[in-house]
Amino acid sequence: MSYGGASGNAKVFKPTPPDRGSFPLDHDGECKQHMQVYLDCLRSSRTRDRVPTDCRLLAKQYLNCRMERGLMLKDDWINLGLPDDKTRTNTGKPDSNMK
Amino acid sequence: MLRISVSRIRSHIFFSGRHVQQCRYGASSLRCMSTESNSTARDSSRPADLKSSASGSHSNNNLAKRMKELGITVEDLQREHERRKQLKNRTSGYYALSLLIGTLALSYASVPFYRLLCQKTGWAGTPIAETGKITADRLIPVESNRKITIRFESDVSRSLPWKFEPLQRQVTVTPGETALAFYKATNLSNQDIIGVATYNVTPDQVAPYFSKIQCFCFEQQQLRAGEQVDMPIFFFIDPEFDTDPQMKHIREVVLNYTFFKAKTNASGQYLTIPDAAGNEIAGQIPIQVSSSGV
Repeated sequence: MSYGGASGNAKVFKPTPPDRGSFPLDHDGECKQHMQVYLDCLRSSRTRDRVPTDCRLLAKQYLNCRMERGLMLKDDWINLGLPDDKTRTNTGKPDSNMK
Repeated sequence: MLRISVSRIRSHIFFSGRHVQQCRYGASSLRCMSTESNSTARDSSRPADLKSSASGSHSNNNLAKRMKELGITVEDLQREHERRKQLKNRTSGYYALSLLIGTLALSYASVPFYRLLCQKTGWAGTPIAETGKITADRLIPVESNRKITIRFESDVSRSLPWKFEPLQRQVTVTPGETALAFYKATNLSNQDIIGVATYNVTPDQVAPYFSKIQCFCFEQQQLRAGEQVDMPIFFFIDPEFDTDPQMKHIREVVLNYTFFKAKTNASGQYLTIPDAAGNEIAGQIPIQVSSSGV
C-alpha cells in the first residue's frame, strides 16, 4: 500500500505492513477475558519497568486463546518471542500442542 | 615552439618573398610535389639579414630552413592550426554537451535513487523493507537491559464516527522483547462502517527498528453499528536498535494509530484510501489475511 508523502520530502515516513498481516477482529469478544486480565496486570506493575514475566505469560495466554479460536495463525512461541511451554506453570493453562 | 615561431617565420619568409613548394602537410607526414634547389640557396642567404631581436632567432632560422626543406608553407601551418583549433573547439563542445546531458540524467535519476538508498540504509526514518519473515533470533531481548518506553496515542478521522483509544498509556520494553498492546474502537453510529488504520512512529529515526509482528492496520476493519471491539498490536523493537549509536539517547517512543473511513464503489471494491494527510489517494484492494481454519 502506498501511503508515502511527497518524494522530495526528507522526512517521509513509510509505514510497513505487519509481518503476519492483520489480526482478525474478535467481534464476539471470545478472548476479552484474557485481555482484561493482562491489562490489569500491566496496570498493577510499574510502567517505568519492563513488562514483568507474569504479564508476559498472560499475554501468551491471550494469544493462545486467539490461536485456539482461529483468530490467529498458530505458531511456536519461540517465533513470537514468548517463553516456551516446556516448563509447566501451575497458574497457566495446560500445555497445548502447538502443531 | 612551433606556435611561437609561426609569426617570426612568417615575417622571415615574406622578407625573402619566395615560397617553397605547395606541399600537403598531413597529420604525420609530408607530401611534396617537387623540390626546388634554387630557392633554398637564395633563402639561405637571407637569415643573416634579418633583424630579429628575439633570443630564439637562431632556432627560428633553423626552423625556417627545415620547413623549406620539407616544403611546408606558412599557409599550411595556419591551416593546420585552424584545423586543430576547430577540432579542439568541437571536442570541448562535445564535453560540455555530455556534461549537460549527464547532469540532466542525474537529476532525473536522483529521485528513485534516493528512495532506493533510503530503503537500504533507513535514512530519514524510512523503515527498512523487511526481506523475510521475522525470525526467532531477532526476538531475543538484548542483554543490556535497555529500557524504552512506548507511549500509545490514537487519532480518528473526522469523517469516521468512531471512538478509538488505547487501553494502556505506555509500556516499557527492551529491544528484542515482544510486547502486546491494545486499542479499543467503538462504532458510535447506527450504520456498519469500514475503517482502515495507519500508524506513525516518533521519533523518525526509530521507524526502521519498529517491527510489528501483527496488528490491525492497513486492512479494512468493519464494525457493526454500535459495536465495540478490542484491537491488539504485537510488536517489538529490533535488537539492532541497541547497537546503533544514533539511538543511544532515545528513551521514549510514541506510537500513534489513526483510523480513517474506507470508501467503496457500487460493487463493494475499495476505490480510494485516505493517506496520512487525509487526502484520498488511489488505493489497491486490501489483501484479506485469512486465519487458519477460516
